[in-house]
Amino acid sequence: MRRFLFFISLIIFTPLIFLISLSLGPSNYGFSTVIAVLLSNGTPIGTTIIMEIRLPRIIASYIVGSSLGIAGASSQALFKNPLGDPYLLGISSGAAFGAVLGFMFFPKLIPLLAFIFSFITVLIVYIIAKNVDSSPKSLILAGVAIGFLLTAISQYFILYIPHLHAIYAWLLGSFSTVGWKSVYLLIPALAISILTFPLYKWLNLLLLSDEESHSLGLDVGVARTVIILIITILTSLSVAVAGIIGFVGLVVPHISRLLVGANHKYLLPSSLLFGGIFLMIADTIARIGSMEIPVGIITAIMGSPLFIYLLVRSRVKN
Amino acid sequence: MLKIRNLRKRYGKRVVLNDITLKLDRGLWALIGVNGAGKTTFLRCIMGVENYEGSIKIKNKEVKELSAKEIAPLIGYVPQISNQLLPFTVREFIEMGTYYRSGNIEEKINSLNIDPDREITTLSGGEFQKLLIMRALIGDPPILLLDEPASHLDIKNTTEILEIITTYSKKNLVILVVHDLNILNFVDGIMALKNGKIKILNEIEKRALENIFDTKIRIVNNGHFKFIVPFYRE
Repeated sequence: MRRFLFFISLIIFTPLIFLISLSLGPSNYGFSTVIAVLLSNGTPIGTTIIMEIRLPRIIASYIVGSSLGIAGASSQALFKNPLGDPYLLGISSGAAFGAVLGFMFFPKLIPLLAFIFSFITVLIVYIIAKNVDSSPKSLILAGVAIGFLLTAISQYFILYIPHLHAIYAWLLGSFSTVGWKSVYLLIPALAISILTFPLYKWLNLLLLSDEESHSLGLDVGVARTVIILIITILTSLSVAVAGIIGFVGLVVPHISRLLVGANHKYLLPSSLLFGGIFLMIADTIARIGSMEIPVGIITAIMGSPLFIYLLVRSRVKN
Repeated sequence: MLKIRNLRKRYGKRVVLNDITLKLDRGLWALIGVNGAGKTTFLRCIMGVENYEGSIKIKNKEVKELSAKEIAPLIGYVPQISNQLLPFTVREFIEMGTYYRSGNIEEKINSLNIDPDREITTLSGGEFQKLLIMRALIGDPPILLLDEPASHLDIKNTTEILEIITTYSKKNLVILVVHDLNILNFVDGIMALKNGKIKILNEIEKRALENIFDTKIRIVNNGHFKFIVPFYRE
């Protein structure tokens, strides 16, 4: 019943919040204007603002949120830990390192470099872990170690090269530069997120010990590699478009799990829907003030109290 | 059912299983040995999780040549502990047994006598252990492996679990890793693992057990069961 209500409310609230978000901004429009623009009956200025600035940004924030939701749910299964996060594989530090290089040498290529370096970082982490025992524990440890190394190098550059201070906004995540081009970049992420749904059996079995999942028919090695690949593609694409938005990949699947249970048959779709809506709301809040706030700050401020509330409530219930 | 020939397993230079050859048909077999003797490694080899030298055949199929999907219908495995902290329902948890095998889950759920919509986090240790056994038995695999299934259970639950696996062993092969020597009274045969070798004891041989566990053993008869009480060295 709780599961059913959660899904219904996500499905009802998504279009509603979408419309509210389109109408809000430095200049506010009524619902009727927004709907007129969407039906291509609007004024030229309203059409430009809504169709060329707000709409791509809102769609991008929705897809990034849902991708991080799916990547987070998959990471928590991969690491057998409800506090898992896609960034544990070193993706964020790799992306930040790529972005720093981009800021220094090729400002136009920042998204591409962020994407490439996050991919290379995961590859290195994967190879190191594979040479130990491929266990979730060695993946985390290798990810953390490589992450620290790359962060240290990035921080050195940021500290000593003055014009690199601008990178802080990117590091906290932002959709302020997003246009239709970014939305096209994100379409593969949405497709991969949905294609992950049929893999729910793998993710359920990955939560068990290797012996158990093997005896229940799962090729643990193959499943783990495919899931790491999915997490990496989803997270790298998100980071390339919007920078490092924290907390979504951790908190969205965790809250979803408290509401729909651990079965990935329901957890994956609900993480996708909830992640999308969560980041859409966060980014709307980030952009409607007099000064744009990095969206990563909003996700943390919104997510932490919600997370703590649900955590305490679940403890009381048990 | 299970034919093992010249099985060897080593990690680097350390030999864990050294040239084991045995043939088991049906029945309830206990596998005993001190911690680190290689009992779990032995089970992992039979399941195909570990690579090995030599040959392990289940129903005349070589285990290391089988994929996990092909092994699933042949072997049921009950771990010592599993992840009970996740909010799966009983039904969802037991359904994992049907992902890569065909079998009737309703019959297994009914025999559990637990509300299938209950979350596994709320089950007692005994209930959860029975759930793990029922999940392993989906599709009636010819071999059932249990790694110390009763190590933290009370007498009532231990008895119930022993009943389930004793019944199952009438037609199938069940291998049970045990540390609780009382359980040896219920088994058809005992395999003792020491220094990488397996020795089969057809009856409970006092001196052999003393040798394996490096301890003195006293046999007590309380009228109902014959207990073996190990005396630990001081």
